[in-house]
Amino acid sequence: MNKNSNAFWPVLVAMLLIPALVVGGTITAQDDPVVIDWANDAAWHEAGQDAVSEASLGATGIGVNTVIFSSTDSYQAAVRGALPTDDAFPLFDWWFGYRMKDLVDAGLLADVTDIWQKHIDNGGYPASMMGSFGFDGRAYGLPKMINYWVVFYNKHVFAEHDLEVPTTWDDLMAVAETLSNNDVTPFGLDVVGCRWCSFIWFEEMMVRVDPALYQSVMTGETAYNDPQVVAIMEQWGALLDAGYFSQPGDFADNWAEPFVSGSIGMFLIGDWYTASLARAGFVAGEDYGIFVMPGITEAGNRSLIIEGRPLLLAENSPQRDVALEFADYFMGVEAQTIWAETSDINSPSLLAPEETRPGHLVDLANAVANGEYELYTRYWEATPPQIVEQVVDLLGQFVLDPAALQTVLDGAEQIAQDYWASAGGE
Amino acid sequence: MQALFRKIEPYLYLLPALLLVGGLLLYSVAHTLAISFTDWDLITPPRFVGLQNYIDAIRDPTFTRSFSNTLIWTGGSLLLPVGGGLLLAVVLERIPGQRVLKTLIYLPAILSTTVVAAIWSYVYTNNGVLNETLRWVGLDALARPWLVFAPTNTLAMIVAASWRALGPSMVLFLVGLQTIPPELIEAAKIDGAGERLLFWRIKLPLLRPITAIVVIMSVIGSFMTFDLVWVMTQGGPGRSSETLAVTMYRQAFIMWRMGYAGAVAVILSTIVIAFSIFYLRETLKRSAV
Repeated sequence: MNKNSNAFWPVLVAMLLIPALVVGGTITAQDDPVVIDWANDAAWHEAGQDAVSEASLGATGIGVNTVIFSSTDSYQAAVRGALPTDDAFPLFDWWFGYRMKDLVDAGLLADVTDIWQKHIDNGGYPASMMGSFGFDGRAYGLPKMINYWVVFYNKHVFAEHDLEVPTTWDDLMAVAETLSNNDVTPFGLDVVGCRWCSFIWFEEMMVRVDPALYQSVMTGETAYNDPQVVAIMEQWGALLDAGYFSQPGDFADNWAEPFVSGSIGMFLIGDWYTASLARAGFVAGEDYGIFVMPGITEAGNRSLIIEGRPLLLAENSPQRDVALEFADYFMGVEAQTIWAETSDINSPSLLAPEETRPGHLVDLANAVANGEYELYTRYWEATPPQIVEQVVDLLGQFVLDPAALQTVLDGAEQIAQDYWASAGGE
Repeated sequence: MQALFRKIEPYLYLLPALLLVGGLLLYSVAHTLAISFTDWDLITPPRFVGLQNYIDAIRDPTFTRSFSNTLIWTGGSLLLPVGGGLLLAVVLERIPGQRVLKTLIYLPAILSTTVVAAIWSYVYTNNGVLNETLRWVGLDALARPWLVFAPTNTLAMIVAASWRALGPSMVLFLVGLQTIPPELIEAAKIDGAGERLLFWRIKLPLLRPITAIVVIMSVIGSFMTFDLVWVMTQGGPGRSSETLAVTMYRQAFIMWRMGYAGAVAVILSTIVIAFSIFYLRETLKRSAV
């Protein structure tokens, strides 16, 4: 008994001391590598993020652990649910423009304006890109990916009918007419299997006629049923009536097949369509090419619709400052080169080496770098989702029945007015 | 002490199940009911709004359309998987080679809804199997874009869902038919009952408990219709094929209106529970008679 009592105190002291030493060790070892979570819903990003992590560990001592969610909806719910808490993912992918606005308004995102400014100043990114990643002059997201919305054309079909890449709107209409007369559907568009696809030609027609008008409709300054918008939509309706588009119900989640087979000559879509074509064995440059849709007016010639995938940083994460340090590294040339090479994507960085870019996008990337285009945010993110999610359904009705134009635009305006009124005219 | 343990022992065995049901079901129900009275987007604290979500839902024309689409789904599910399953069971019971046919009819049930939706999306495209077959047999006028206009798109999806649901209900009815005592059938035949009379007066009344199960399962399934619609049309075009479950999902995970989605969920559950209680009570009452 006595012996046991003698052993009690040294054991107790040791038990208290060991954890203290361990904690002390972790506190003092500040130079040890730190690994933070980076969540997203795109499994194909994992290899690229891992490669960047490895390089970043060497350069900054900060690595990332990729957390992949298999479903976009459950991913969004998990991220939103955690954001107000300490459990928020320090780094996570999101959607840019208005899709991140409620997170900004709730104060849940770290301000990354300084990082942007530093990399714009060193020529890494066009200044006009930053506006799509924030509000009121402040940025809250960094460009992980930028996709340009262009027209894909089937080179074999164009060659068969002696067609050149159109450089004016009239040229484009002549191409469409020739294809149509030869039983080739000029443009592919699916609004049945893809409800959001209805906005593609809405936004494109708007920026090809009057990009400033497009911007003002997005911010609620101009009505959807404004006579100028009606006139543009009538122009699109005339193309639908002329039979220049695929018929509703033509597709079953197989956008590549009719384009590859040559039954459709052109597809207006984001440059991520490249991956679908690659899976179908269609080779860029050989089988197909891309061009930016010509303007209907002079003002519309310089427009380019972009879609961005931002990297966001959680304000409430205890690792926020480490995340900021990593984000700065990620925006730099070294990380962007690794990210682009590993993931086979077109880096948003203007300084990324040309050889990292997919061949058919090099000229366009150079044109953007030279300031030849004004970048406009895609409709999906250019205006509040509360409006978008309802208006895309109305635009889908318009594609099915162009005669319903006025009803569609009046309905869209009502939705927009209701939103802007409840949002206090933000 | 031992007497007390004996008294509480049965409840201890029930405890895991009670905890599971209480934790997973009752808590979820209570939570959904509570948020249905709030305005909540997951990132800001819920704000109490009383019955506003219910009022918004009832006034929303999309909700009304979803509701009527759901009723079409319910009617279609009663007609095709339930009625069709019963018909197949009665016919297959008496024909040679029934085992092969039963297997073939049951086969789609082993496919996931997503696979079924993908298959039927191809069947229904403008140049899909259905339209090509119609054109081939000279019925060009019937060929159409099946998933584009309402209510054809909803009816087309009901057929796709029934293709999968027919097998299980047929099997249930076959099991039911096998439980009917053969002496009853023989006695009716001796009394001169023909096949039709035999079906309406003997088999159908004796199948009532099985019919009740199949009907309840079909109605609940049709009110919960989500995945097939989501894959095939996402409730479109123009929300024309949306069901109540799709509306609930859209409001929760696309519009981030958790309160509104909760209200739709409460309405949906109330209808299903009320129907189930009413139908079971009536069926059991008649069975007892």
